[in-house]
Amino acid sequence: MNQGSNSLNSKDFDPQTLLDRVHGDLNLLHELVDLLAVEAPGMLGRIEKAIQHRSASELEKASHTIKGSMLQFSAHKAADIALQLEESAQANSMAGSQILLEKLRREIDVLQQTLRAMLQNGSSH
Amino acid sequence: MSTLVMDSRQTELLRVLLVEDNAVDAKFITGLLRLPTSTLQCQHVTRLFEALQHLERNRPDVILLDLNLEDSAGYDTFYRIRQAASRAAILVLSGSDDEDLAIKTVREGAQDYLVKGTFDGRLLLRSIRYAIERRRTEEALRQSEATVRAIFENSLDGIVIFTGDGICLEANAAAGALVNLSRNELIGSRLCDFCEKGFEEVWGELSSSESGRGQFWAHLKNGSRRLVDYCFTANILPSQHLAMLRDITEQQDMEEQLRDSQKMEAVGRLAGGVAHDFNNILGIISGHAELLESSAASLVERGRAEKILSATEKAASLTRQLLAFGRKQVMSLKLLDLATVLEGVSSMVDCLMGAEVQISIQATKNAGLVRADQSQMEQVIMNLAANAREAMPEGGTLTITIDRYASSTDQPELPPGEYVRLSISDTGAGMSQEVQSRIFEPFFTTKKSGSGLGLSTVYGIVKQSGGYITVESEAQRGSTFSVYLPVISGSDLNPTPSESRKRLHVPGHETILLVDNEGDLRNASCEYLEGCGYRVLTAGDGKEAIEICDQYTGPISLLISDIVMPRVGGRGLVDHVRKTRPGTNVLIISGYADDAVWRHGIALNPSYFLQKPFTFQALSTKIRAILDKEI
Repeated sequence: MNQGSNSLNSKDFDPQTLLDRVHGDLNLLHELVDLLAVEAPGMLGRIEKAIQHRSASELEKASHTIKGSMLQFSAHKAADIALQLEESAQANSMAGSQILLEKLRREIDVLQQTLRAMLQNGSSH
Repeated sequence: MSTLVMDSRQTELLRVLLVEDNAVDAKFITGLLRLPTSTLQCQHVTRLFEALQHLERNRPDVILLDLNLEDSAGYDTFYRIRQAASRAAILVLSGSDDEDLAIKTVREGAQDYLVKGTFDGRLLLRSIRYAIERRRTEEALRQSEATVRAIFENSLDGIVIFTGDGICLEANAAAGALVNLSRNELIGSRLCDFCEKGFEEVWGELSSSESGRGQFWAHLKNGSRRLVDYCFTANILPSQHLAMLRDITEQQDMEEQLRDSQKMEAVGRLAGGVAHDFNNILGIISGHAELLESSAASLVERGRAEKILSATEKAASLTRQLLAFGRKQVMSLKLLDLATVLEGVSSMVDCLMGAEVQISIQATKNAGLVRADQSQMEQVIMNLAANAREAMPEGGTLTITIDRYASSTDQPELPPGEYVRLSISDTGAGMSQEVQSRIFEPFFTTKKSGSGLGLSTVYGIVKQSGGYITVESEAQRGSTFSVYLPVISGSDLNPTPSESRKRLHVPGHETILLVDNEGDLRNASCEYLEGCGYRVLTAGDGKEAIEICDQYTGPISLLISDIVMPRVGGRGLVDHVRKTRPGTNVLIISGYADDAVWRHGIALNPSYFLQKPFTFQALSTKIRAILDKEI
């Protein structure tokens, strides 16, 4: 993945699938995007806290939660990073967690931008 | 499920409980369920404890369940919800595509396991509806199974499911009880192991047919056997067969008893008919014997006539006992002298014992009176005598004693008091302790034939009469049955003086119409009565008698008539005479017992009846008493 990129390719994020899943309901998508903007910092914060406290169980729980949300948005890459964090926690290993967290943070930022652009265009990416 | 049913249920309002702590995911789900075609009422909670509280008061149709919540995680979340909502359909929504977890939850009752991000609204809605339908079908099946199981477990008939080899796969308690096992002991056994020899072949034939019905003897471990009626159905499931079993041992015993009883009833009716005809014949013999006696030229001839008369009296007594014994009577308690009752059936006991058995009777007179039904006491004596006879197939000695017995306080089986004791002993093979302990049980018998009810009937009668019965027996020394009946205090026995037979010639002069279809008896009676001085008109049946009545111009003082006659019987004749000659007295004679009078519809004072065979002396005495208005 390109770290500096502000766009996602279809492997990272599948906007058509997302639109199909919400049956083209842009109002619903709007609500979801707004909610993500509110919730994402908190979800990422729980991961950070878990890493700081070196709590594998908390890290597993928090990363699992954000993974689910990413799957809902068909954000496969973000979901994949969250899965890596979850699996590290299951293996009771914190090694590389901070790096993965930063990657996840950037992915979610790009995702949100992409989603906003989708909504402004009123159609696919 | 048919499409039609699905269509009809699509408009049904469904109640959904969403258990999801992630706000984004919850929004996604509730948003997806906001489809125009959706008829869902969705309630959202974020914690397990909230969900459990909700389930205490509500019954959602479906629960959408995220397993990882703030206050619970993984399978445990599912388990707690399952316990709290056993009737709801549960769809697990998970962020993990964990096949093991998916299988586990579905096996434990989840209807589906959906991975987040893989379903849209339509798929979710369809999954919800399918889940609800499956849950309802499962519930209906569960109820059906519960019903069938209840019927299976509680059926009074045995139900067994077998393999083709006859191994029992499943059985209910009743099936086990048939062969004296618990159902668990029966499962795994082969039914043929409990069956009579040769049933293996029958089983083989059954297994290759569709169904069958029949009976077999089941042999139990304790040595006893039961007659079992079975109904067999092959292949209720592949290579599994069903048998319904019913123990009909007692039913068969009762049917045999009924047949025996009906046979006895038929024999009784036959005996009654034979006795009637026999009485007529005896009447002829005794009548002519009396005529011979009255015209005997020598003492030798008179002696011979007397012997004939004595023999006919004994024969008449025997037929009277036979008729009385077979007659049905309601229980009529009277003060009885058992010695007199015994005397009354002694002839029948003689007949029953036959020549091979010696009879010894020691009946104390004035032993006391007891309150009982005479015919029942006769039955007790006869049943005990019959039992004794069965115990002495090669012959022996039957001893019947009647005496007074005083029970003391140290006899637990007999309360203290005064009793009349009737004991019947035989010199047969005796009984073991085990047999003695069961001897009064209904249907219990050690004989190959017989109903096994004789002694239980005796027991019942004795108890009904307020008495007690004991048995003592020793191997090879015989048995003694003793019946104890409480003495009714204040009852001193005064022996009834026996009636001596007097040969008195009772003269008369009146006109008698004598009607009897038995010609020889009629002629003998006519000869005797004319010898007494009566004018006797005779007829062979009621019609002839009516003609004589109508044509004879003089008075007829007495009509003597049999009951059962051809053309016009006794009743018709009596009715005619009462209408046309109201001053004529009526005396009915018959070979039947005295109840034959009312059974044939003749209203008559019982004193105006004379049972055949009668002596001419008895006839002339009765005639004189009627004509002189002494009765």
